[in-house]
Amino acid sequence: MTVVQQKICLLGEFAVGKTSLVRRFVEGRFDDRYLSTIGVKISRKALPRPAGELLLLIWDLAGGDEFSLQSSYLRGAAGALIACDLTRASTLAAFDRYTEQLWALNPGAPVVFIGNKVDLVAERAITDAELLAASQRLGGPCVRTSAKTGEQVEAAFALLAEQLEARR
Amino acid sequence: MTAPTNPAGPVDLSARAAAAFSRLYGLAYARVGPDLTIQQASPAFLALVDQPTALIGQPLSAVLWEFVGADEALRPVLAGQSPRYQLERVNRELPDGQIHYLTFWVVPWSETQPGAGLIVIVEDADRFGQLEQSLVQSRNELHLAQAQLLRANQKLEQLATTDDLTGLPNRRYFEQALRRELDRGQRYRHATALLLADVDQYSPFRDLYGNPLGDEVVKLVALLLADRLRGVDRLARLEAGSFALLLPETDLPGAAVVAERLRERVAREAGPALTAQRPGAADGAQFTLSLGVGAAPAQAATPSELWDVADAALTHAKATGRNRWSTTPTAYVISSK
Repeated sequence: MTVVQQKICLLGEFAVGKTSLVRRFVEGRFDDRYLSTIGVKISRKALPRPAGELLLLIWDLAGGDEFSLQSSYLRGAAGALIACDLTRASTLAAFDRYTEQLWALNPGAPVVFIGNKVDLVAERAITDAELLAASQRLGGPCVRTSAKTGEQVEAAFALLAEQLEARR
Repeated sequence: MTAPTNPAGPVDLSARAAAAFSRLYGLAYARVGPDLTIQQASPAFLALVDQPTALIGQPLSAVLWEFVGADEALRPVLAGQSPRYQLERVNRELPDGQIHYLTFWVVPWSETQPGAGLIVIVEDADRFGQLEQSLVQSRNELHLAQAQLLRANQKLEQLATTDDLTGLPNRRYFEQALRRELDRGQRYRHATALLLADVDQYSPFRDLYGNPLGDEVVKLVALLLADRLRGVDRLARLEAGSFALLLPETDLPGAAVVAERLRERVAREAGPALTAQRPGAADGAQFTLSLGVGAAPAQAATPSELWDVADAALTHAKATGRNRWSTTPTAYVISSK
């Protein structure tokens, strides 16, 4: 069986739920406590794909302005998931900056845009139309997820995996 | 002339060498060959990666995930074109079961022989990492708390200024808007009109058919009124079947035209709309509006004066038969009927 190993990055502003998305995807669980990530946390998950096994090395990077992303974190990334928090409008505006940083080092790397915390319906601050418009403008698909309930989390990673395979 | 003496006593070279060796030996490092495979590793490095043996000859990226995809970044260091490659604050669970913040430094093995290989040094920056993490945590929690407070305030503001039933602004919001608009009108010498509207016989209808159907009527009328307004106009629900409309840059004749249009629309559409929406509930019921029209500065200078003028006109419209609009009943009367 063919095993392909690829590095992907998870980007987005602080507290959008990046670490929770990885935890849900890799460990299948959710923890309500918020613990800020500094630097990078690397996890692995093997995805069975029609063409063989895809071993994803998921780089969960700290979000926020003050600790600007080091190029060594992004270098060599085959693709990325860029997440916003659907209850904080300002997190959507950061899509541009993260996409730009990723593509500066990895031109044309596939990106899937994520609107996380879709379960918090009453607190929604970003509409589906706004999320779709931002992702279309940047040229990637978008998925609404909930790390808490697990909704669409697998689908988001699978979508990126498809795009990685299509590019190989 | 005497030879200088060492105040600490004679130098024990073998002890210094042993100490230096121990320090070096305690360092987590690995030597990497030109093919980016591990050639040699210190005990501390072996302990760090939790693989006491079988590292030699393996690709660096197979031992440390952190170096997957990093070949392109390492080759310039190997060739002496770049002084180093570093990866900071890598969260890694070590054999002690704790997450540590590690920094990876990669430098050429020899400065004089480019291509000879690399040395990877791993520094456990845990103490600084923990401190930094707690600072970042505090800052982020503060930002989140601010965002939550802002949202809560916006929600409170909305609740305080919105009518639950129709979603329209309430009287509180409307009175503020009226004050602002009159100030603006005075500054720029623009006319401002106020319309007060009551659904005729609303209370008897509600008493007869009940509150739920009464609420439906209010919502229908609100929709019919809102649908015909300009973007700058403001519509509010005051109470029960009472509404107020603020028409910026509109004089008395202009406001009268709007009043007639609204009266006519409600009379024509509200009843059939309710029948279509709630068949059998109050079939054949008709609804009409009485409206009082006032305008500043022609009739009033202050918000309360303008309100009084429009209210008096509304009373006049109701007193003279309902389903009509009226201006002030005093000096002159312009009425739709």
